[in-house]
Amino acid sequence: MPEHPTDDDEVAPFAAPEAPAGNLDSETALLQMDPGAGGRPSSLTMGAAGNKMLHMEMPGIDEMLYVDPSADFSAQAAALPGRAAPGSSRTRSQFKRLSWGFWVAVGWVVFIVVLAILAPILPLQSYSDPSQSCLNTLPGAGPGVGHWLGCDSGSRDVLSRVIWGTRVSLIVGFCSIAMGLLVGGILGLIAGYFRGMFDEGMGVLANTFLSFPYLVLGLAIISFLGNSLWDVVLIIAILAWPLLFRVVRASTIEYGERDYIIASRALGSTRWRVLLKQLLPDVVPSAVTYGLIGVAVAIVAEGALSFLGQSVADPTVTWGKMIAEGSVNLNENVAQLLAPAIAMFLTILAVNFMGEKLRSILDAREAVL
Amino acid sequence: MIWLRRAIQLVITLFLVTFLTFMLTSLLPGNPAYVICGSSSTQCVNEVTTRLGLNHSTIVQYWDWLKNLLTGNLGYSYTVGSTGTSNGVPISTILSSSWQVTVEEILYSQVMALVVSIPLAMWAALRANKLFDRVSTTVSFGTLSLPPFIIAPLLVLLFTVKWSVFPGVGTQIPSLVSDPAQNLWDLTLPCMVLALTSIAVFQRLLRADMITTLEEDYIVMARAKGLTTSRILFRHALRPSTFTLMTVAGVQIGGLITGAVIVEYVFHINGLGSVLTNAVSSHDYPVIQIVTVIVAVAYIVINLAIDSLYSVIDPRIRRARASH
Repeated sequence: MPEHPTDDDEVAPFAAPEAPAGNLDSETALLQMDPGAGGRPSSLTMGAAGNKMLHMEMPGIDEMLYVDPSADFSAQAAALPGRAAPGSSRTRSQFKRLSWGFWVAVGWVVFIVVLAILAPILPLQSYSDPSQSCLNTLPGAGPGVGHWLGCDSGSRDVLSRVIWGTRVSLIVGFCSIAMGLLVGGILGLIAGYFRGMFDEGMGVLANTFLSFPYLVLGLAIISFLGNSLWDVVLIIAILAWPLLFRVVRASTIEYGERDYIIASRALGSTRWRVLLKQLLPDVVPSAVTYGLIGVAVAIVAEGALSFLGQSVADPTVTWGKMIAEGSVNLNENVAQLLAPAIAMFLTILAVNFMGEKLRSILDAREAVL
Repeated sequence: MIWLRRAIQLVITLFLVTFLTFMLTSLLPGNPAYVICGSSSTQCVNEVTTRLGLNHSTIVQYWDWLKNLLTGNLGYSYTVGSTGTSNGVPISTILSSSWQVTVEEILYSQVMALVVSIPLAMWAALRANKLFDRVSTTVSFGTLSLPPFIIAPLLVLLFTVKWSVFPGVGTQIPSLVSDPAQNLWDLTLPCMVLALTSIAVFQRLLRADMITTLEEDYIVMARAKGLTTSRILFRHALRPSTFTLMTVAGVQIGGLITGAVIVEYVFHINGLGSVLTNAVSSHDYPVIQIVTVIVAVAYIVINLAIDSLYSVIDPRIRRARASH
């Protein structure tokens, strides 16, 4: 086998063309990660994450046959033997194939989500008011009893601030991308399927937005719009939608040319039916995967804005704000710089890593199809 | 035909960039005159409204603004040197020296990034999937998750606080013309922040392209002729491996400008980025708009230039285009 030129060859056991079973499993795994998939009927969940390709397992032969579905294939599909349900041994073996690094990344994200949710009921000191025991020492005292990460220059508990700061990063990261995905995704789906003037126009508009460096446009909008938490979410959604639009549009175009779409049209489905019932589920995996990478970018963007003092105003604490405060008080407690910096780095790394892994699975699947 | 199409798209994009930037004003809850006058009388507000034409419709205001922009009149600051009833400092004066600093930072950091990343990528590609390759690829991936506002304070902590290698934050940096050596030395640490991300990006791209190139027949041929490895790498393999790098270098300029905003804020360098952050904190809307437009137009033009440079560097594309 020729050497892979990509960086991801070590994570591409799914890429092996002689193992279509692994490829199908990867779809299942992707779907398990797909937050939007929860409500979908389980008959769709199997093997058909994106493209709704039904597969049959020949008894005794570990080989998959792909069947182009038409609009009314589901009845036959239900009768097919050997369709593994989610949670079966096949699905579980798929989870094992994702490297342990992936699960460490998932673990970290789950960990900080839990911390962010539990912040109000954890026995933490105030994140906004100076703590008495910090006031008794010099400002910016190092770690000690009662303050695991020490105090910051405003005599506040660093640990408490790091945990509370998690909230803004996560809310902005996920909500803004969800918003951008909704707007960009719908526009991309329509532009990619109907093409024509609408597509041209949206393309130019998206390119226009992309020609502003994100921080410059972000700062410009924030200075005019204001900086409440939801303003920041909105601003980052405005920065994110063009990229998500382009991803969804590109995969809509790609899938729109597939045989089963043409077949579905030939069988008399309306264009809207094709769009919503066939293309929409097709593009969800790539949209969600790139969305995940977008979450990392959104967290960075919020961090940059709050580092410059332009994100959510006091007393709300954000990691970017803490890093900014820590970086002007380098001679005091270094933990007030390092703790938010490390927390942010690990979060961005984890989300990036998850996104990259899922994308390499997705690419491998696309390559086989 | 394709060039005409692209020219039309360029004009539309440039028009939209200026229009969108100008329309930001309409997001303001009130009249910008209140920003200029502060808490002074309604008479001041009325005067400023008339002088700046704020009582005209937005479209008329946009048209006047665009006309001024195209004739080189960038307008006046709301806050710097403004006393309410008179115009502030011309924006062109505010920008006159700052943009060179930012351009210098970006160029300096890119030179640094290339000098470091080319040997790293070559070494990794030559021994793909060996220890060095795996380590450097992993480190690159990690570096990509380190935004400039994390790198900058950490480098300051290490290089100026722990070991006083570089001058501290806020040192007055002499201009490139008056004292080039000192200027470059003082800018080294800020540019290192910008360079780190670029090194990671370049290393990954160049390594991937280099691995593909090294499998080509003409490389085997060169080896068979008995050329030294370094000659093969630099003379035969480097140029064909740089196309992805070039495209990404163009796209990366957006990221570099973002990085420059952060770096100038951290190191108190008087560049375009600090003009922007200062304007944002003092609600100096005309300055924000001008900087935004300048940066976006520069970005569009540079990417267009890089796009046309392809055919210069790669004869294959030149011939393909000529034959169409």
